[in-house]
Parts: sequence; C-alpha cells; structure tokens
Amino acid sequence: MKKEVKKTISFFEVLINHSQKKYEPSTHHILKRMIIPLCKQFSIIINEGTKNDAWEVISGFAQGCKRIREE
Amino acid sequence: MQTNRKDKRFKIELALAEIVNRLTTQEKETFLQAVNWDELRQLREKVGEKRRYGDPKLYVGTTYNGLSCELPEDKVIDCLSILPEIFSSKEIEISVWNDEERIETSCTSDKFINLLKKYEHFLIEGCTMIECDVFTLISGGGGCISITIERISNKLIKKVAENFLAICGFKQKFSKDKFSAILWNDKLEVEE
Repeated sequence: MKKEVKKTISFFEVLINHSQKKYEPSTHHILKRMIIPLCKQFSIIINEGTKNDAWEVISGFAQGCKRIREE
Repeated sequence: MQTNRKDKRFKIELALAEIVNRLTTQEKETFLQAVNWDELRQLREKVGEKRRYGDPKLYVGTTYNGLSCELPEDKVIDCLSILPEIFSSKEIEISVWNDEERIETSCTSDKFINLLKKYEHFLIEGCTMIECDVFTLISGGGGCISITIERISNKLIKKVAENFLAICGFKQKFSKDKFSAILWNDKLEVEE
C-alpha cells in the first residue's frame, strides 16, 4: 500500500477510534488533529494519486465502517 | 455480565439524551407532557456524570487493533523512543509532514531517538507516521497518537501503555486486555 493511501486510511481510523472513547474530545481537537490532516490527505490523493489509490482509500474507509457496524 | 448490562443501559441513556437534544422546541414541549420532569433531570445528570467532555492531559486506551493515546507534548519523544525496544524493531520508516514540506526517511533503532528530536516540531504541530514490520504509528500532532499493531499482542499493548504512563509519572499495571487510563483533574481514572 502506498504511504499516502495508508496515511489517509489511518487518519480515518483515528477519527473512528475517537468517536468510541468514553469521553468526548473537544471539537478543536477533532478538527486540528484528525479532520484537517484527513482533508490534506484528500488533496494529496486527488492531486497526486491514481484512480486505484482513490479506490484503495475508499476500500480502507469501508473496512473501518464495517468494523463499526460489527461492534 | 454486570458491566455489559451497565454499558448497555448507559448507551440507551446516551441515545435518549441525543434524541431529546435533536427535537424541535415544539417536539420537546410535547415530549415533556409525556415524561416526568424529575426523572428526566436525573437522567441528564447521570449521563453528564458518566460522559466527560474535553481533552484530557493524558489518556491511553486500547482500540480494536492497538492503542490510542493523548500524551503531554513534552513527553512525546520520551514515549515514542521506547517503541523500537518494546517491539524489537530494527528498521524504522518515518514520514513527517506539514503545510510546507513532506519528509520520508528511515533509520535503525539506535538512531531513532535522534530523528525524533530532529523532527520534534512535526510531532508537535505537524503530522507523523512511523512504520516498522510490527506496528504503525500515526499522529496529527499535539501528543494525539494512534498505534496499530500487525499481529495483536495484548502483552505488548499493555507494556507500551504501562511504559507511557510511567514516563508521564503514573505507575499502573493493567490486568485485562481491554483498558483505558485517563487523567482528569490530576487524578488517573482507570477502567478495565
């Protein structure tokens, strides 16, 4: 897996993990530490990635979503 | 079993609070005609008590495939520097980036701490991904760190968490595979 793809999927996983914590992180924390990094990764994938990279990112997201449904 | 029942009840209470929160003013008025106000107030206090808001000074907790951590910024390098030894990693790849630059490099475990120090500003105010054959660490900065482990070893996860807490000044041993420790108001609250 390409690094940029892995980074993108990883930040999505971090976001999921934060939503499952027993405390609620501040919106500032979520924005700065997860959403903004994730948005930057989207830009990189769009500007520098291939269609296959985009597909791998979505597939990675889907696996994270599947895990939420199973828990 | 008791814990599961308690967790389930808490989830119902939280879901109910969320639903009430989303009602329109008119719907809330209708809702209040059907429920006892005192009971509703007690429920709100209960939910508020259980669910904390804000960013703790310190947090370590298991995830489905590793560990999620909120570390004090001044302890990030000390904490991360112990990972190669715990995971017996020899070769480590480091990616750091911010708005201006993206750097990818690799090192042997003995040089790892030097690279962490060199790229400290990325660890605090940028993004970092550290990879080796056993684990991947991702961070959006500020001590917000997530570690995923390829072949889950509960023993190693515990070891990392206990060491991180020790570096931050807390002696804690976890006995169960799923756990969390959170620092609120200078008190470490542990759940297993």
